[in-house]
Amino acid sequence: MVNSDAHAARAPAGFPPRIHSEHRRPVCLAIGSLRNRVQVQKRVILSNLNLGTLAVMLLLMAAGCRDQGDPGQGQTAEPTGGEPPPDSKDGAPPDRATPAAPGATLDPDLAPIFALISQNQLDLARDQVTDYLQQNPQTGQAQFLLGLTYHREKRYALARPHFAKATEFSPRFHPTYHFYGWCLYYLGETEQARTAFQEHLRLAPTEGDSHFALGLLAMEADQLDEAERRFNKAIELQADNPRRRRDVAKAHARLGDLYIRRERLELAKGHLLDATNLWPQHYAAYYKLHLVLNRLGEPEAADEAFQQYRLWQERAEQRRGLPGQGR
Amino acid sequence: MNLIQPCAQCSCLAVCALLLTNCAGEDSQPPSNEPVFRFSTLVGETAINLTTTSGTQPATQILEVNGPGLGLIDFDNDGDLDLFVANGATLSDPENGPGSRLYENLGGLRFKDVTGAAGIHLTRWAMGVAVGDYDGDGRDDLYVTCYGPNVLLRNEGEGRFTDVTKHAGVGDPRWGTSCAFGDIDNDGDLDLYVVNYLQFDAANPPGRSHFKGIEVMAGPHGLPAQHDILYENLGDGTFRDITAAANCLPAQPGYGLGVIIIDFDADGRQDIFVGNDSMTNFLFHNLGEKRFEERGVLSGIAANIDGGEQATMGIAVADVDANGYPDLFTTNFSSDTNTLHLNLDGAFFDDRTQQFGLALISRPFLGWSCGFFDFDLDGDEDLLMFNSHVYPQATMDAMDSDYEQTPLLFEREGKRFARRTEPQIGSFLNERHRDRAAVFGDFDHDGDIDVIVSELNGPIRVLRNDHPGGNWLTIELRDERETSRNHRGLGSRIELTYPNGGQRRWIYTGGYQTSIAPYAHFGLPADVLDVAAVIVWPDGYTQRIESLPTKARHLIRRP
Repeated sequence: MVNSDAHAARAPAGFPPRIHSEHRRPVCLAIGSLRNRVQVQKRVILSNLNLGTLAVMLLLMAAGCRDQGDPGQGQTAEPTGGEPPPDSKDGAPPDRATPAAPGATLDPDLAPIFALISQNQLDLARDQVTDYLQQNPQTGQAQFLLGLTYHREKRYALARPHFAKATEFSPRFHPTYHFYGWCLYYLGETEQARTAFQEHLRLAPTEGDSHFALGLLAMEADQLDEAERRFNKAIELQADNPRRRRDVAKAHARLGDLYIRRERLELAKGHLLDATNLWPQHYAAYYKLHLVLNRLGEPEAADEAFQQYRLWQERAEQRRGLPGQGR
Repeated sequence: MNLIQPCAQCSCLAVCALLLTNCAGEDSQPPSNEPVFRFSTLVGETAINLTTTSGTQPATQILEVNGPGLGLIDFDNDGDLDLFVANGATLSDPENGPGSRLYENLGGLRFKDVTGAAGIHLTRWAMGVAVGDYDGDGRDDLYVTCYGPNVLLRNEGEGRFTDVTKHAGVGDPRWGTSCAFGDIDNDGDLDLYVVNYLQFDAANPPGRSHFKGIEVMAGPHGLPAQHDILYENLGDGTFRDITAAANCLPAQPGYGLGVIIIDFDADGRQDIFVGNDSMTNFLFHNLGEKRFEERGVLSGIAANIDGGEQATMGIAVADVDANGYPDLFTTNFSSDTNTLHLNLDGAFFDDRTQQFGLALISRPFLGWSCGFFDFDLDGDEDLLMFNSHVYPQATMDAMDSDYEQTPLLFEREGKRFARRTEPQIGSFLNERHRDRAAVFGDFDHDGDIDVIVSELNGPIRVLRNDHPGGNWLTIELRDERETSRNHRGLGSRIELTYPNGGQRRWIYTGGYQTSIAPYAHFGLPADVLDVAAVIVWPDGYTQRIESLPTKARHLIRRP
């Protein structure tokens, strides 16, 4: 049917043959060696972490209020891969709540409302903070809490004006800038998000998650050197904090993305292994790892990573609970 | 950008480059490489006078949200592209809507409704369109997917069509969305892939669901997905279902919305990409001998950078990174990003949406048809996509996304894409609509790419590209050998080279409920007077043309 010279003129096939098993490097070995590296990192860094300035952030995180810190994964899975939902029992232990820090002290009058948010009683919290705002309309922290109720529901357009007001009325209450930044990020307002995260770091320089966010924004701007610096800073600031293992894992996973983009697959593999080692539920990291391992000619390890991806993704979906009929 | 590496395996059979026209007042305006985007909107009696039907407005059920399909077809073989509109119906009577329409291109962006004269009477709720000469008689035929049995309309010539669905055996009764012709077995005739969505009973529609806390229509989750169908063209006017035999039946069927047929890995075999709603996409890698391997997840094209399942609607192809392989852009749901998968080597894909500046900016948008075209004729491909939410309840406050949305026009600027919103681009591109399917082509033969876009329960609009001057070239293919029935060379790759540059296109098929123009359009630097071309036909046969003048439409025949 085709001309005799047609086949000879074909370009080379793009799909490579399967790699034989003796060329594979087991994932578990790599994990072992990388674990040592992570321990060394933990001993070295974060000597100057100012835990006090993080107090409110930790309080919020303990309640699962802080942003998941990663781009969405579709309309049904916005939190990052493997991230437990805010009210998950896999989340932070309840004893993480600490007194507020200088510059980020929550007004005691608002503490009960924050407690409601922590318990995911968002409608009730919204009612109460709305009442409070009727009496005290220019209270930045109340605006912040109202924004937070929407933020937790991922209704960022609704949260946005309240965070904006919060920064206006309480410009030194630094947690607002962090949440405002994520809010703007998820609305696609990259420049304003960058400004908010930068302001947060100006007020709370040791907050690793804002470095992480700026790293993501640098990735979006194709500024890989800046992204690399930010992700490494996020790791440095959080690696000694056992409550921040997920955050450190996420930063490693994004370094994996970065090195994939630079076509440095072995480096990417190392960071992705770090991510899955630090946070075994990080299904997005397993997904990336499976692609990298396939490209490196390690199909068995890739299959293993893929199985982990499926396992943890399904568990995350079960936790979130897919709608019966919807998206 | 877009430098093409020489193909050492090219045969050097330069043949029959037929200069069709050298048109459009070429010297009336000086050549321009300025990044000028300027579109005028033509609607109603001056262009296409149709208000589409897709249920009621606002939609209450998932059947009502896909909107009409659009197919470009030169049904009268007069050298310009006519338009078929796959029109819908209503939930109360899905078999008897206002009917699909065929429009003849009269030139000057005027179209005439010739549905009746063509003998087309299709009132069933139609969705997608595939155009191809399935019987190899030199006339393009129409395949239309429907909510209900799909329809094959044979072009009898003299502007007449006959419904041959039953004889051909392609009347799948399930809810079909997109479809595409392609020669998947390299036997010279056009096979057919039909994408199915889900089970839906219009007489007993499902209840309600919730999205971001708002009550909305149900689906797709909770409604049973449907397997797609791959039909083999048997060459005698009939087809047979080889879906299972070809290994195109994944364990879990998909909520399919879009499809393209293209050779992703340059192995001379056409592969199939299926965009699914709210689940991973499929990549059926063609192994030859009518066998496929589903490699979506393995290759990295099935999901986004985080392994997230997306709701894929629109699909566009270009060699964005100029590495010789077709890259894939898909539009997705709101609160998610669109996705650009770079094709790294034919085997693996990597989500590089961020790298090209196309990620976060798309989060408030829900995308449908999209296309890479050099709208400003500066030598690289820009990107245009059409948007609107599926839920009429959508507002920024409720869902971080509005129901009616603006299109997104991105200019290629070096290594990145940059959104264009200035008023000069035309009011349409800065206004909100309920846009759905769109097709792209030089409908008025002035050298730049125009657009026809459908609105859900709204008009069909023609966007006339008013780019002043510019340098360009189009290539259309003809394979008129006795052994071939793929006379337009669907599935071919075309590479242009010229001093200090080169570009590459694919004559692929499919999209979101669309059948796109079967030719390649190139914008070119102003100082390029002629180019060399390499045509890699679908079976891998390579043809070299040493010199083609620019500012012309070329018809290249296979020897």
